[in-house]
Amino acid sequence: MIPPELDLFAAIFGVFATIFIYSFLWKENPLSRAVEHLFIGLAAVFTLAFMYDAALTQGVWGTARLYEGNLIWAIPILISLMYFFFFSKKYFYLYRYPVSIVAGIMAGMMITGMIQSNFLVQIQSTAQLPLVGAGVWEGWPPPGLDSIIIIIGIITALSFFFFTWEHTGILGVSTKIGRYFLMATFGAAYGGTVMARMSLFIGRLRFLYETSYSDWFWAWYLVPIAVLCVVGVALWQRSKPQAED
Amino acid sequence: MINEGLVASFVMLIIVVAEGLIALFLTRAGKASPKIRNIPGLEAIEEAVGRATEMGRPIAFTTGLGGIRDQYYYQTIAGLNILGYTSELAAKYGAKLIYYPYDPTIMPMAVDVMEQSYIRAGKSDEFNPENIEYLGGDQFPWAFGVLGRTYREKIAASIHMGPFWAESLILAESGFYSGAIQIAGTANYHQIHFFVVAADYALIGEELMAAGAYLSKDPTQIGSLWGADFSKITTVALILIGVILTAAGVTALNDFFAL
Repeated sequence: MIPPELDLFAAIFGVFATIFIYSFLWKENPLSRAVEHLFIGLAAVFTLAFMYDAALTQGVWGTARLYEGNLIWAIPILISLMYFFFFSKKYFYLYRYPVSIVAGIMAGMMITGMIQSNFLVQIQSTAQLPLVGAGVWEGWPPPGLDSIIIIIGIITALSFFFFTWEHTGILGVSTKIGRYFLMATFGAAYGGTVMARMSLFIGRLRFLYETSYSDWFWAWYLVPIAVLCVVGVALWQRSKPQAED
Repeated sequence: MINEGLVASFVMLIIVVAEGLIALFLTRAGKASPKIRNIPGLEAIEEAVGRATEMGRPIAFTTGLGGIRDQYYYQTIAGLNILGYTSELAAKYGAKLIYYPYDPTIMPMAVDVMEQSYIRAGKSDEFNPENIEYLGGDQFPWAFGVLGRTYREKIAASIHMGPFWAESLILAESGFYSGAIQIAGTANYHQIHFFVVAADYALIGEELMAAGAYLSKDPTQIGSLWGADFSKITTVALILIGVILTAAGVTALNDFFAL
C-alpha cells in the first residue's frame, strides 16, 4: 500500500513507466530500456528482502522456532546452508544435497495430490457423465451427446501422450482425433485468455484515466509529457547514424 | 490405517508405482527395449542451434517461472535437462547460449548443468558463467528483461521449456519479432496454446517430461516413461469400465473411488 503522501510520486512514476514500457511496441529504445533495468533491479531487491524475511526473520528469529529452543529447526537451516558449498571448489558437490532433498520432498508431497487429481477425479468425473436416463437424449444438443464427445475427447487426447508405442493403426487414428480435440481446446483457451488480457489492458487505461492527487487528475497531464519524451527519443535516434547489423 | 477418502488413492498409487517399477526394471535389465515416438520439438533443437551458429547470433534459453521449491518443480527439472542437451550442442558448434533463470535457487543448478555439458563436449575452457543472467525473481520484470535482451542480442534461437504463466505470449512474441526460431514447451495447460500459436515447435504437456528420456536414451528414464504409458492405459480402461457400469446402473466403481 502506498502512503498517501507518496501518491503524487506513484502517479508520476506509474504513468511514465507505463508509457515508456508501451513504447517498446514501436521499437526497443533507451526509455523502455531504462524502465526495464529499473524494473529488474526492483524485482531483485524485492526477492532478496522477501527471502531474507522468510529465511531469517521467520525461520531463525521468528516465534516457535530456534529462538524458543526448538532445535529441530536447526536441521533444515544447516541443510540449507549446504547450498553455499556451491562457492567452494573443493566441496562443490555438497550443494547438490539440499537440492536433492528439496526435490525429493516435493515429489513425495505431490504424488498423493497428483494421484487424486490426475487419475481418480478424472476417471470418476468421466464415468459419471450421463448416457442413459430421463432427458439425456432430449433437446438439442442432448446432454448425452455432450457426454459422448467428452468421453471420446478424453480417451483420444490421452492416447496422443503414449510415447513408447508407434502412432500407427488404431492408435494412429485415435491420436489424430486426439490432436484435433487438443487443438480445439487450445483455440478456445486462446480466445478466453485474449479476452482476459484485454481486461488487463483496460485496467491499465483506467489507471491512466483515473489516477488523481488532491482531486487533480495528474495522469492526464503526465501522459502527453511521457509521449513527448518518447517522440523526442525517437527523433534523436533517427538523427543518429544507423549501426550496421 | 489409511485416512478415510484416501483408500482409492492409495490403491491407485500402488498400481501406478508398480507399473512404473516393473517397466523400469524390465528395461534396465534389457528384457524390453521400448522405442520412444518421434517428438518434433526436440528434434528441432539441433536445427535451432545450427541456425544460431550459422548466423553468429546467440541462443536464449529459459525454464519458466518454476523453481525446485514449488509444485511445478518437475517441469523445471525437465527444462534443465533440455538445457543440458542444448548447451552441449551449443558447446560443440561454438554457439553462444544465454540462460535466463527466474528463481535464484535455480542459478547454481544451471551453472552446474551447463558446465557439465561443456565438459562433455570437451570444451570446458569455453564455459562462461556470465551467460547465465539473473533478471530478478518477479514475473513481469523477468519477462520484460528477456524481451529486451531478445531484441538487443538479436537472438537467433529462442527455447522456452518449463512452467509458464502470463508471460508466455510476451516471450513468444519477442522471439517472433527478433526473427528467432522458437521451440517452447510447458505442461501448464492454460498457457500451452500460446506456444502452439506463436512458436515454430511446441512441446505439449507431458512431451516436456519425456524429453529427458528422449534425449538421453537412458534405459532407466525410458523404462519410467514406458511405465507411465501403462498407467495411462489403466486410466483409459478404468474410464471405459466406469462409463459402462454407470450406464448399466452399477455404482460399484464410483463407490470404490469414494472410499
